[in-house]
Amino acid sequence: MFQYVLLSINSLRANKFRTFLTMLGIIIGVFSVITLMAIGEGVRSEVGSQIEGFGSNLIMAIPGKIDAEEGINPASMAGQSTLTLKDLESMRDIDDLIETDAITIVNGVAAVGDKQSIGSFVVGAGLYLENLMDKHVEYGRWLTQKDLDDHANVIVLDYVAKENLFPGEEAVSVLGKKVNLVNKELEVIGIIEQQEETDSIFGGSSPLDNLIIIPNTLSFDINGNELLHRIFTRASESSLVDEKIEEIKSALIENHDGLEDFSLLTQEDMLNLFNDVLAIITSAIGGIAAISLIVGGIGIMNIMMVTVTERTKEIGIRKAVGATDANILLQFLIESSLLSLIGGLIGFILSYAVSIIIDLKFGIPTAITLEAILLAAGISIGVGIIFGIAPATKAARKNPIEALRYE
Amino acid sequence: MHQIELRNVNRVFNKNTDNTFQALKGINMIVEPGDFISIMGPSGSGKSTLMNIIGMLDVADSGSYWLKEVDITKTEKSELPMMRRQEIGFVFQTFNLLNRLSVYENVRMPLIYSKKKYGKRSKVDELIKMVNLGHRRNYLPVNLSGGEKQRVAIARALVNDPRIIVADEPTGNLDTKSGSEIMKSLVDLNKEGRTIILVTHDPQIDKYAKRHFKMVDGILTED
Repeated sequence: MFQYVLLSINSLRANKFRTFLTMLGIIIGVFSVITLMAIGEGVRSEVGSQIEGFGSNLIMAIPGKIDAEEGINPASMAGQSTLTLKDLESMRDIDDLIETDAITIVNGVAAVGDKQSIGSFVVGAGLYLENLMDKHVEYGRWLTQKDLDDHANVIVLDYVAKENLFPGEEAVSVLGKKVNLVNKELEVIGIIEQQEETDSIFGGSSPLDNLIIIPNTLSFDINGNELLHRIFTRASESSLVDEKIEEIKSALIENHDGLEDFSLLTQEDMLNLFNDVLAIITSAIGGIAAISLIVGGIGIMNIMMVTVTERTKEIGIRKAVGATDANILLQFLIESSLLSLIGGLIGFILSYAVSIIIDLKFGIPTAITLEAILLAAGISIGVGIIFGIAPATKAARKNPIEALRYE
Repeated sequence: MHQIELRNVNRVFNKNTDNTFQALKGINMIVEPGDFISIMGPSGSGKSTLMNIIGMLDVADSGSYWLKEVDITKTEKSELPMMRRQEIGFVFQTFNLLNRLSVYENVRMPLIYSKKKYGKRSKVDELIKMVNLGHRRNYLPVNLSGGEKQRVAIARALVNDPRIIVADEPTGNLDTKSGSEIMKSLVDLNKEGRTIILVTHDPQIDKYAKRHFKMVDGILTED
């Protein structure tokens, strides 16, 4: 067997450029599959653990109707938020719900002089977001009821936002300094402790690691409305979650004139939804990758057919010196498999390198699993064998006398 | 027991068509161990067809072909390659070397398919030296002269240590001097006890043989 592998390597080296072009389909296919799996697995693991970190009794209200069983209807998510302050108050009135708070997304860029905090996620929040999001102030303080009541021009920065606006400065010395946000001058009152980079259920590359918080009342002034983008709450006990969801639902439907234009999600729903979305994306891109692999396989078959014709004389010579049909079949089958396997290996190495770059450069977590490695190897060898059978059979069946006469 | 015995062998091409052609007509031939046989005849007389049948690359339509104690015409087709590599070494007019393999790799090639333990480097090198190509061991065929290429082919034919060498016009593509060298090699092999069956249409080459056959229109006669 080893000798056949050497023979195949020798044959493939004889036409290096053609070999490379033939491999390209497999390289792209395996690269797509493995990179996708690596990103999917990494994001699934990171986001999953983050969602689990919220605790099993978390309930989140979001605008738009999502059916956790059937997945997302994107149309229902379009347009403005449907959640209001009234909804927040209604939820606060329900017994056994604690730390009910909301966030309002503010479309603005914080700046200090010519320094801007690009990419910051600016949100209006209340008193409890600090606990709900596990974002604790290390220097200074969190928002107070007075800040909310006064629409106070105050701001809390996380460590990344602080570094963007006040690079190199001691966190404690930033307290009391001014930050401009949408024509307002805000005083820094708190710096959130530095945390390891995480990923967010909000999507994208870690907006929660570049967070700027202002009083929600101030965010209403800036946005020109009192709409909320998320409302968070916790059931005092996890056994109460289902019951509380029903109560919240009734209250909010009443607020919305009988219209259920919002969704209530538990930690499990969020995980399911996230996995559903990931599965849809994975299937779509996986399908494209599969097409690429089939095209790559057809490319291998095509080139192997040409190779068999070109090497007709060689087949005749090998048969004349004692090769059996099975020997010839095996030789060409190993050659097509090797072609595909090397393509797969290159695709895998590329995807490994790109996964590391994606992780380091864009902060999107990636994880290449043993399953992915075995899949890459299996796909490569499988494609090589399946698409190599026809050319190898053609080679094995050649009549040695006619093959020897071939010029 | 004869080494080879052909009894009333016939070979017909394009059977049941308008182009039916009988290449061999009732061939009878007995070859003993150590024979040096030449078969002369014009182009298209059936010499190469006979060589292909003796070399088990082709099968007779009727008659019988006995190689040692085995009736080849009744042997399973799948067993013929094994018989071929054990018993027969081929030398072709056009050398039939693989151009991307070195001299060493070309000579070694039949061992890949042999049941014998693969990797007899010393045996391969010994044969390369025997045909005076030790200094060309790692050359590609493209860098060899015609005579050198044919010597590589002879070394390759011997690597499985067959007792019969079938040579189809082995000097046909060579100049006189190279042709003489190749014939000297075949004579030496014959002296070692190997049987040589040679096809040629060159009377000068025919002289090297001990037994002389003529083939005309598919009919074989011994002088």
